[in-house]
Amino acid sequence: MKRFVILIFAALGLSACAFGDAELALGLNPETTNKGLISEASSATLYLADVDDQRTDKERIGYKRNGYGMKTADILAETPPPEVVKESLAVVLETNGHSLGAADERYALQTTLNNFWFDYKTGFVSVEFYGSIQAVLSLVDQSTGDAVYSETFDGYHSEKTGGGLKGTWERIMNETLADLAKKVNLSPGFKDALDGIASNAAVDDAVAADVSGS
Amino acid sequence: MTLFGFARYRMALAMIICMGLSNYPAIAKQETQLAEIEFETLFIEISEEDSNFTVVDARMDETATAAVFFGVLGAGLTSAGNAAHDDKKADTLREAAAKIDLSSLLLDAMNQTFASSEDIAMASGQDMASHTLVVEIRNWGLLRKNKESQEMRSFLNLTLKIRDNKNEIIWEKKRENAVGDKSSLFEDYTEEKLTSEMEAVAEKTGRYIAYQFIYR
Repeated sequence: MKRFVILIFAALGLSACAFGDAELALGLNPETTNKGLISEASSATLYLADVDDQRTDKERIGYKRNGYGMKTADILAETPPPEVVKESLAVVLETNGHSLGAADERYALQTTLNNFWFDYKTGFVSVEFYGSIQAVLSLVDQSTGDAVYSETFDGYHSEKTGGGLKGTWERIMNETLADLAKKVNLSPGFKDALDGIASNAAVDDAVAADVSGS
Repeated sequence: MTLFGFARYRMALAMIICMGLSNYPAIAKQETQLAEIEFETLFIEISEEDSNFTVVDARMDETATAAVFFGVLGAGLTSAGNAAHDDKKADTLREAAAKIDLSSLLLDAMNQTFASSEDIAMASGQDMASHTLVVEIRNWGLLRKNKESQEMRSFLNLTLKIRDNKNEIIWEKKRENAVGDKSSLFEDYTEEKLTSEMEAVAEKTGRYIAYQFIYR
């Protein structure tokens, strides 16, 4: 009987963690972010606007679930996901030789965050973890209000392992963030748009020099 | 063994399994990284063996989010009722889908992108290549934009593999997923619309795959 009581307490102790919220430390590692296609665009300066958070669920980035798939607690991000995405975009732009300017720059990179979610599905002997982030990037000419470029990016990462806790969840979401960053980094449309900004800036500078000279 | 004894035995067994699983470290496979592979010449092979045109509408509601979606598709864990509902929708576009040559679209986009870079030389045959990039087309078709939206967008789900000249798989990436930029209600999808959106997503994906290798 004594052993049975110990087993009950041990079981409760083990499952207790399933009922407490978990906070994940998320971010794109600049050291593992390589130069990509957008490094081939002429160096552009743009204003990186705050990310517009359009997620359906802004309170959490996932749920802890028990063996039956029932929600038991929240999975949260230490830094709000819109800030995580904005910081990641800054890393991508700066790694590729582009500069971040002030709010009065002619061009602004506006981002809408539609999804930032972690989930997992428990199988018989393994667990599959999934991360998914969706962001729409638009380059807006602030002098006219027109979007000169817009593209939807979906970062996705999944892994099947024997199991995993907070450390694994962080890794999955950071890999998802890295996938999103890689897609931005390798986008021909974004590269062309950055090239367009740089050449327009050169024209603007030439006109300004001409006006001040005359 | 008494009933109580049997219950204790089962509980102890369950706890051992539970502790084993919860402490089991993430499997750290010694995988080759793409950046470590020294390509001399590359041949591209596209496989449609597991290609499956599908519409994901009702099945989208089964998962907590689309994050789980691609895994669910791969594992075939969806309910029969929802799968049948989606199949019925897919059937209305199946004839149009059969005319879309995804292999050629992907291959052309990849070849053009590799040709624009001098990073990796392309081989005209597998026997002349140091490595072969195998692109397996898995699920593709139309997917609900998200759980809350009724609009659909094109998607493509691939598996990528690198085979060396000893015919061994040295690198693999499952669930290379791409989605289209446009979205519309399912009822608005005609043959022309499906074709143009799938062409766009295939071209975008082909370029993206090649760029991953060029900027590895």
